[in-house]
Amino acid sequence: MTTHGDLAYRLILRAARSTLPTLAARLEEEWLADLATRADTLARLRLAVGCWWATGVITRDCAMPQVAVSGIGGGVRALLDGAHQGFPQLSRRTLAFLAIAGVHLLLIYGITLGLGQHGARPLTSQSQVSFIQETAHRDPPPPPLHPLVLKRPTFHDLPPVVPEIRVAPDADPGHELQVPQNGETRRPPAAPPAVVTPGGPGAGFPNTDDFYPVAARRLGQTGTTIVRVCVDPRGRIGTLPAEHPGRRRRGFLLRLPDPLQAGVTGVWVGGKAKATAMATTPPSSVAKMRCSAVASTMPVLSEISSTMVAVIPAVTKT
Amino acid sequence: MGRQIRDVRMSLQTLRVLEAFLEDPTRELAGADVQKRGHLASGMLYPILMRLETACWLVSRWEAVDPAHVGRPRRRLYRLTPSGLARASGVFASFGRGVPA
Repeated sequence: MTTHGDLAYRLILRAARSTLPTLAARLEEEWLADLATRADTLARLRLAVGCWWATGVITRDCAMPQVAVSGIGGGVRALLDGAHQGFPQLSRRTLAFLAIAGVHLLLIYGITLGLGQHGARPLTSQSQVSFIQETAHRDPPPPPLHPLVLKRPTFHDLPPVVPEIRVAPDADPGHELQVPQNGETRRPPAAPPAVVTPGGPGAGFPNTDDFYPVAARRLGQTGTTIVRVCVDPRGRIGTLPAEHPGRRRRGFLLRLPDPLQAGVTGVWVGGKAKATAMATTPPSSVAKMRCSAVASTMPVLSEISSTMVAVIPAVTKT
Repeated sequence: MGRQIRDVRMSLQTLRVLEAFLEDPTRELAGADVQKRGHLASGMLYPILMRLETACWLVSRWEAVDPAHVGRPRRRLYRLTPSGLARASGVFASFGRGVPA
């Protein structure tokens, strides 16, 4: 029943000769003998296809010890050798190229059909996000603070001080009684009345609260204050330095009883009052602030006596 | 022989081949005979026969006929070796089936 022109016969011959040379003759005769026992064409073809498959398996089995020794690269090389023996008309490089191209084609085909989604779906279903409970030791919170109690500071308002001021009659030596030549005695002109403006809180001008700094009150600062105030001929208020030569050149001094202890020096310049009130008090910033307060609140002076009396009571502090 | 007996990876097809030989351990079988008894495909049968022979479970020889006289190629006849018989029996005994009658 065996015919040399049979397809199965030729396939078996080619398969047997593509195996290892030491096995080619044996497998060829053995498989042809098996083929001779089969009369059905389909059975013969099945045998031929099986022999083709067996060729690859036997070749790999024979190459396995070399694979184990030479590693992965050797395994690939052995597989290529086996494939090369299965397709002797193709070179090893061509087979490798075809294998790589085939793998890529399979991947592209699979992606086109959406097989990647089917493969990725189980992966996404298996991936679960779990939050790890933090086990780090935490310090206990600090104890609550005591409630903050805010107290409003208490101020002891000083009672208004209304000093008793005694104004002596004007004894200006420059004013002499002039005896008329014709024997009539003319009375000298009367001295202008002293205008006293008592100060203090609630007593009208000047308001001493404006003059004494609040910070100095809180600190309880006490001392003697000398305020320098200058009134120029045009009525403007300014300050004179303590070392100014004109301060002691001429003028008058008005002393006030304790606790004021303030000295007021004034000069007449061109018929206008030019007064200087000297003040010393710790700290110096208080005096400066006071000077500025006087300068800003005191009106234009025309009479030195009234002005000084009005300014000095603001210094009072016990 | 002089070759060392090695273990063979036991698959269902390998067991079917051994079972075919264990039906009559003294009988020599060709590949076609084993295929008929074990209902195996030729692509699986011949590699298994080669492995068993390499592991010294089987021994083979050519049929003692003249191809020109019989009008066909010689067949390759396989037979269990004593060690192969013992190991095959042990394999089936471990499965609880024993040696088939």
